[in-house]
Amino acid sequence: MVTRFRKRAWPALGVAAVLALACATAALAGRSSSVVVVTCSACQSSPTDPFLQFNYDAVQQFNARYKGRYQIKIVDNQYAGSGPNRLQYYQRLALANALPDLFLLQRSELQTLETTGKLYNFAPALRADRRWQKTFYPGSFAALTDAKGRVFAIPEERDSIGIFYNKSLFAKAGIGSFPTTWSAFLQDCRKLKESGSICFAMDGNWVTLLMWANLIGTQPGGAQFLLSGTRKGDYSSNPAVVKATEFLKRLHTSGYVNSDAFTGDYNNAATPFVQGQAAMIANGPWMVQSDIKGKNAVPNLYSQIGYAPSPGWTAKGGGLIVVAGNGGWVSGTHDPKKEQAVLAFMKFITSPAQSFAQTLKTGAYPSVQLTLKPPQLAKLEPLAYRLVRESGKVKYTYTDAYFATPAAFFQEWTNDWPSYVQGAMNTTDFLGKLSAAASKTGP
Amino acid sequence: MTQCSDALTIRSARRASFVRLPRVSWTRPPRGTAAPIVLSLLPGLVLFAVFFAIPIGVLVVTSFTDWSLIGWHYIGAHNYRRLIHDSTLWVSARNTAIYAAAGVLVQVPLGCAAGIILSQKLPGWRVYRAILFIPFVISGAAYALVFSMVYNPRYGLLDGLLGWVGLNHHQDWLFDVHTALPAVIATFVFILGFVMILVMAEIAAIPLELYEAAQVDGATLFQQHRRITLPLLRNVLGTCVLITVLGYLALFDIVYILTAGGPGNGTVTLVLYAYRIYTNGDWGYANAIGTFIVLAGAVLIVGVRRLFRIGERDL
Repeated sequence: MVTRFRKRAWPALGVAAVLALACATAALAGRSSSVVVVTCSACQSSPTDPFLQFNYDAVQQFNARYKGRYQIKIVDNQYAGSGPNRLQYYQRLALANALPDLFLLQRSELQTLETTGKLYNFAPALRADRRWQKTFYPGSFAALTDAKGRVFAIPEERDSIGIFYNKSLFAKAGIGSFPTTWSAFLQDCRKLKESGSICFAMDGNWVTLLMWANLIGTQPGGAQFLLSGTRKGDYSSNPAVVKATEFLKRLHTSGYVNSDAFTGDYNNAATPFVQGQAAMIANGPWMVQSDIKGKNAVPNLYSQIGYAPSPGWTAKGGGLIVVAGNGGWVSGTHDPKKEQAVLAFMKFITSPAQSFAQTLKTGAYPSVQLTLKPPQLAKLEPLAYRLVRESGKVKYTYTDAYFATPAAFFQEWTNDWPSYVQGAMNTTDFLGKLSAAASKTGP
Repeated sequence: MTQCSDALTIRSARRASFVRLPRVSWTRPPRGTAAPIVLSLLPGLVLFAVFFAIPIGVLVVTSFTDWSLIGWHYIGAHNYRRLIHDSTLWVSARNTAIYAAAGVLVQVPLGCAAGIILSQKLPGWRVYRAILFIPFVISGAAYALVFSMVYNPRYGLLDGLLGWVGLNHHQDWLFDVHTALPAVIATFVFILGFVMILVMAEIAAIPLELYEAAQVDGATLFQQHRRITLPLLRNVLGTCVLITVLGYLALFDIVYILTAGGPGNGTVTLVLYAYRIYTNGDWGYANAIGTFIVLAGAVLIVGVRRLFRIGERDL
């Protein structure tokens, strides 16, 4: 009886299984034909990184708006934000032809990854939509365009990076206003040291290199060096670079910086500043949200803080780091349907509404030009906005070497900077090593 | 008992001859058993190929290429010629040798001494054993993070302690060219748990009759350990030295987290240097350094095995 049932049941079950499989295949085929799914590896939710969180929120809004047409699938990974190992992650994916459809890279990383020939070229899309292209600040694409005119990234930010200073510590040292020249800066450092404060907080890496950029960029020709010169030739005898490097060393040897200024850990610079021990630190406007108003800051720190452009080598020769187009959204897609979805997301996230939201949520200014009304202006962080307005008044504006140099440069800097400051090598040798490292092929 | 003690006097233990264990000779398997033998060996052979033979093969083959992100070409022995003239490589080799020497000269003797002392089952020995063993089970990365704070010149524990005795100069232990290497060594050289536990296990296997005979002959406690324990620990000490040396040949995490190899390559290791080259996209050269490390490891294995006659049994 059981055997007979089995004999009869098997064909019926087989037919049912085939039908179910056919239905499922048809459903999947129908789905794939109507919704284009693209992957994003820089869009995951993050409680600590406001930039990632902004991307995540934008993706949710995009998916809701384009429901049934485009969908962005988030690929969680530990390299979503910027970090030293991010490039390796994408190098491995490029080798495996498995780059995500959307991700973020800095300019130096981009220059390496574009050699694989596996990145999507945005130039035709920008030419096809001039109105979209014109929404960006002039020159935003300059650093993202190769010699053949190909554009491999859509710029994400345009930030003015100045120097935060603690007015209370300045007053305690008898300093009335932020110095406008480097010689006044040194005098103020001496006064701050005598009053028991750390003059300038540094970390041996990011913050230190911002000051290096300020010292170079406020000299004639400095801006050009910072834009492209760090990758070319030997600059151990470049007078502007030598002068800046030796001044930066002097800040350390005179005891004007924190004693743990070589660790390469940003927190070792940020902590003494937000704890009210250090009087100055160089950083971008995002520091207001992440640190100055953060839980580690002393009470009412924000009300004591000023934000100023860099001093200069002459009176009225100050400058400001303006980071424009030093990285952005990149795509590894080569599927025409997915390209359309990627472009739709790029136009969405660079729209005026999203760009303004980015400024509010991250503190970083967008690469597109915003025409803001008074109610919107009132929502902006005043310290940062004041500095953005200053960018049109200062004598020099320049980029930061951090974004334009390969990883080998930073390895060499963090490795040799402490020994150079401690006198184990001279300026020529130090800069010679940096030049050699920066001119190497690779990331 | 007298005969036994006569036969195993301290002198005879010292003069004990050494024999090699008998070799297993190859015999042809019986008919019909070849297929099952091959099948049973297959999983092991596959694992060996996937996780050992193929990676080593790729490492060696690509070390003769200019492998990078954009492709690779055969370049003969160019990477090895470059290796000979690479001063940073020899600095990293020197540093690696110093780390290994510190392990062999400090970690192994101290661990051995701790093992011998705790084997006397002194009051509270289990507590001391646990205290000495716990650091061994903590990951190197966690250890390094803790020590990066201990050494911090602004808020670190070490400068705080020195401040109590009036010696606080806000010394940047990890980034001063004169103190970086000793500071890094000090983070791991007192992790004695591994050597201690192996020595204690080996001592537990030494027949008590040897010590009883020695006591009858009037040997002091020191003499007993000098003449019985230490000679019989030769195999395990050789193993400890071998594992210590190979461990420091591959040292990476602690140095990477503490100093990233700086200042001025003062603490960089061979593996960390290879990693730097790898991150710069020069994969062919990084693999040449990797091959050099593998060869150095092989030479060390042979050298230490011969020095300590590991695997030979005392009679």
